[in-house]
Amino acid sequence: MSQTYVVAYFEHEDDILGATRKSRESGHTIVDVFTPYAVHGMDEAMGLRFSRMTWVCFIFGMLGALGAVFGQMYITMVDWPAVIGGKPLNSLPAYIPITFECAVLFGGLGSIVVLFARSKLFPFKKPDFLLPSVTNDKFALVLKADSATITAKDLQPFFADFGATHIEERLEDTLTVAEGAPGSGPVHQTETTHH
Amino acid sequence: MSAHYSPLRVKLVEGNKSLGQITDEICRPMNRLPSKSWWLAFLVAFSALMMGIGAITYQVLVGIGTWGLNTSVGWAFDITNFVFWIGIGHAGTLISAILFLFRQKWRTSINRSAEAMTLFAVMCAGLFPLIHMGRPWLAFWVGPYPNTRGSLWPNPRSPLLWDVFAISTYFLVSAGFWYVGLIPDLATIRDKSTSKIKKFIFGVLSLGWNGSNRIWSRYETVYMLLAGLATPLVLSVHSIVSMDFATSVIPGWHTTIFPPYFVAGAVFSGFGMVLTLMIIARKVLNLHEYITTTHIERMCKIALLTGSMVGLAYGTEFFIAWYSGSIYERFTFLNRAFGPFAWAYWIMVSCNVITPQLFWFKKLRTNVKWVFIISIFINIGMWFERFVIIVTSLHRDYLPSNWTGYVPTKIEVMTLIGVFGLFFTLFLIFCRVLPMISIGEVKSVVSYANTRNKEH
Amino acid sequence: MSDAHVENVTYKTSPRMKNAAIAMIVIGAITFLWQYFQEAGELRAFANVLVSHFYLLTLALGGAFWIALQYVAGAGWSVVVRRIPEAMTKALPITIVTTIVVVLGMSYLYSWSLPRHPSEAAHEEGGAATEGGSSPLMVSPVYSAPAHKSEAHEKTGSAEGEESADELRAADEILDSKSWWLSKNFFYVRMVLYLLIWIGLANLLVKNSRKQDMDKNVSHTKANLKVSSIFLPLFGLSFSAASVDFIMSVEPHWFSTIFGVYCFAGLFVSSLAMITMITILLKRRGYLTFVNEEHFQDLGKLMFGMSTFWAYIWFSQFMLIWYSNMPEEVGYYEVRFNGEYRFLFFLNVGVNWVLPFFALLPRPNKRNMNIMFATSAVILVGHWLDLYLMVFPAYYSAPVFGWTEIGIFLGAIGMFVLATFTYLGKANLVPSGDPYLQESLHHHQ
Repeated sequence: MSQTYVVAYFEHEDDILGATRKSRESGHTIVDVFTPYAVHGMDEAMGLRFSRMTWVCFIFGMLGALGAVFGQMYITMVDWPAVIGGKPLNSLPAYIPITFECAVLFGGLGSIVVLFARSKLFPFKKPDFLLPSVTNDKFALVLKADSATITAKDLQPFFADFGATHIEERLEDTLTVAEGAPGSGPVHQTETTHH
Repeated sequence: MSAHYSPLRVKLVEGNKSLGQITDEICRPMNRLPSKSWWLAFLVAFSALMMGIGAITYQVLVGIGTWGLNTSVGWAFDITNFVFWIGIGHAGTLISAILFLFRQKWRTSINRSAEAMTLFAVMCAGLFPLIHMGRPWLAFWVGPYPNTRGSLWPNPRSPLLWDVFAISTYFLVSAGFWYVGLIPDLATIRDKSTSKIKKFIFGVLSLGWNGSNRIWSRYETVYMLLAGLATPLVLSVHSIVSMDFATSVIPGWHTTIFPPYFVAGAVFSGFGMVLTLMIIARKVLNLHEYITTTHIERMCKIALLTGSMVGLAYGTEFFIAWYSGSIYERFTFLNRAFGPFAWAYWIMVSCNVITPQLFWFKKLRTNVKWVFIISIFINIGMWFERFVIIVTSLHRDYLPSNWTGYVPTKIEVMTLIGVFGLFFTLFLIFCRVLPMISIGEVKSVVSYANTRNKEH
Repeated sequence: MSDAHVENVTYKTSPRMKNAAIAMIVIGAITFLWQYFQEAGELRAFANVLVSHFYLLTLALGGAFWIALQYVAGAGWSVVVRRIPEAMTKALPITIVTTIVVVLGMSYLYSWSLPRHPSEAAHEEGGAATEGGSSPLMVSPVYSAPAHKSEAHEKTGSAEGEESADELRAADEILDSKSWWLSKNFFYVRMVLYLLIWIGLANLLVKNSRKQDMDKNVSHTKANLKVSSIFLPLFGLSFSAASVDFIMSVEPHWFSTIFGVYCFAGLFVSSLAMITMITILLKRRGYLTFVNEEHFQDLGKLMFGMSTFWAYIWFSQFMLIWYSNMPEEVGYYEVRFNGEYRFLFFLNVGVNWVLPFFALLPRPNKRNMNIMFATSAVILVGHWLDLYLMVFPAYYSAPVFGWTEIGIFLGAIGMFVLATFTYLGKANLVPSGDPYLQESLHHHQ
């Protein structure tokens, strides 16, 4: 299944923000915005929900901390109890450093792994929907052409205020996006063909 | 969204650059053959590294009896170097994480290379305990894993095991932080480069990054989280290193201020090294417009701040040693300042406390030559700080019949030089193969000048 | 886009608040006197004043530190709330009064100030040491366990106890060896010096800031940058020394090099909590309308960070002393960790770190005024408890808590509120001439 998309290119941060806001206000379905760097305020402009990665990090960190505390207690109190340096079998104050390190290790690496998994980033991946120059100096706004009025030509005046340098239509295969849901989910794309 | 910047703000990147220009200029060193000065530096560093490999091989084969240790001074050169290198790394994390959390946008020009420096410094530091193990191939024994020896576990009450966890966590999280920061830039290079090999390598490394804001959104959250984790991590790492000493009962080692004092010292020494490296790099790679004198000046201010904190800690230690009324505490500190190692102590004080005070003067802060010289002094001073703490506290203990001195052997000195070689070799290679400045982040700070209507 | 315009508004002091503050001061004074004239009650009265004194000092000085820090860091976002820490510094002059009270109670609070040798004792006839049982401070050459102290305290007036205490005092070589620092006269000199530095520089900062309201001149920001860079190192030195003088020396044999840093961590987090609290109070009364969630999120982040920093320093001191287990140090925690204070010892970590940590971790909470207010309040109570735990175990082997503690603390708060809100009633609530003001007004994450 394929779908037509309208892609508008801009050269300035303010323009892409303005264009995105206006598109959202006018009820167009914003598929995604492609930028060379993280544009401040773009999440609001696109209406993205605040990312839940914080919770992922917190849960992983907690797992690391609990694992470390109980692991150390198991080692020193259960599996091989030995009095070392006159310290009590349960030397909790001395277990805090390792507990903390494990919390950070799990929280940090856990968030990175989940970031890659949720964003479908992995080695040897062919970039989905890669537009020219968006990793260098162009900003691109991609709208779903779900009605006859949304064509590159119709949108020309719409984006004129924002100095769009180029507007084009692209036909992409099976590109699905959670329409209307202001989720922070990725643009799910299986196969894309570029023309 | 327009920015309401105070008239007092200075531009972070000079020369009104367009976004494409930034990409090209930062990537330039990667696209051309190395300069003569690069080759010269690389040759020196690589020779030092080769010598170090020789020295390390020799001491592993013969044993650590090749060191100058004795029964009183059981820890000296090796651990001094370990603490020194770990400390160097801390500035990188401070720049990339703490300054990020405090929204100090000037960090964008220097964070990439400072983080790389962190990784290389931690690698260098890790070598020393490995060598000290005597049988480095059995290093995995320090890990807590079920084994056929009982299971015989490592002792989690021991600060040395805390070190194992701290250093490995520090390395892994810093590496992750660094790599996550690199991904968008790797994609930029993938899309810009014309050579097939480059396209392939950077294509693999950039994990299919396409600049989607849905991913940026999550990416930025994770980046912030990593910064949030790295900040207490950097405090914990040097605190734990300090606890190797502070949990003991040795006067001069056991003192409660050690954790924050070591952290301040580490950041201070790290900034010394960052300044040294940045001043060389901006000259060799012609990055004056990105690493401006404003950057250098701000780093000088942080060095002044942390140097003064270290000075306050020296003073506090000395004062409390006297205030404690304990004759052993008092002796240790008097012996430090006026005993056989007084020369080392005064090198430490003059390099760490007095020299950075020159940064009070704007003229010196903005004079790159002066800053470079002072940064070298800071590096020297901070190495001596660890040496002084470790050796002077050991060489004269409770029994005067045990009193002795310490002189490093040739092998120990060669190892240190070799590790410097490793550090600079890695850094020089990094400058060639990866973007030394974070392309994406620099673009985001020039962007306020990047509106169509009012070009500045 | 257009710069937002801020009107010059001052806080309208409500007579109710003023009367309440005055009532609290009266309650504090009455409680102090009532406790003072109780049988053997002087120590408790003075100990409470010491806690309240240091509490006020950390809040007021924390305000000055905050202002200096913002100038040095070139921070823009915090300009809108700067008048509040400025107002907090106006509580510094109050600490002159409380310092005088602490000095009056010296012979109760600081055993090092008592004459240790018979010749000295004869000199200072009528000193507190000879007043029946008023001084529970008995000193042994190594760490003195408070258990003895409170026994001595209970045995008020017993001639036997007096004699043995005198003998022990005479044998105190450790105190003799540092009598240069821990001597009354040098103590007075230091007090005057500290107060001069703090009040002088804080007033200078505030004065320049207010002048800027009138003439909108950038030069005041530059001048304050200079004052701040002078203030910060002096603050570092004087506050470390002051924390040794006021608090650490209540147990003159105990020492810890991190103590100044520990007190500083408490200062930072509690003054931050106070800034947040006053901001919210003003906002609820319809002032500071332009202070929004973004500012609260930043305040919350810092509060979260500093509370964790406090925990880090707290842990470093505790763990290192616990681990090394050296007799000259570990007695400090013997009383607090293993003794009757055990519950409060853990409660202290709970209110100063665990609770704020989880309360401020989620982003929406930092942007929620009610949660921020409650957390600040918890931290401010926690700060009192922290100081209580530094001071009281030196005198009492088991916690004492009652109307005396509450009353005297209320008095301190009353003085603080009066000083702070009087200033807010005089000055613009926004530093309207600050060159960073627009950044602050348009601040977002």
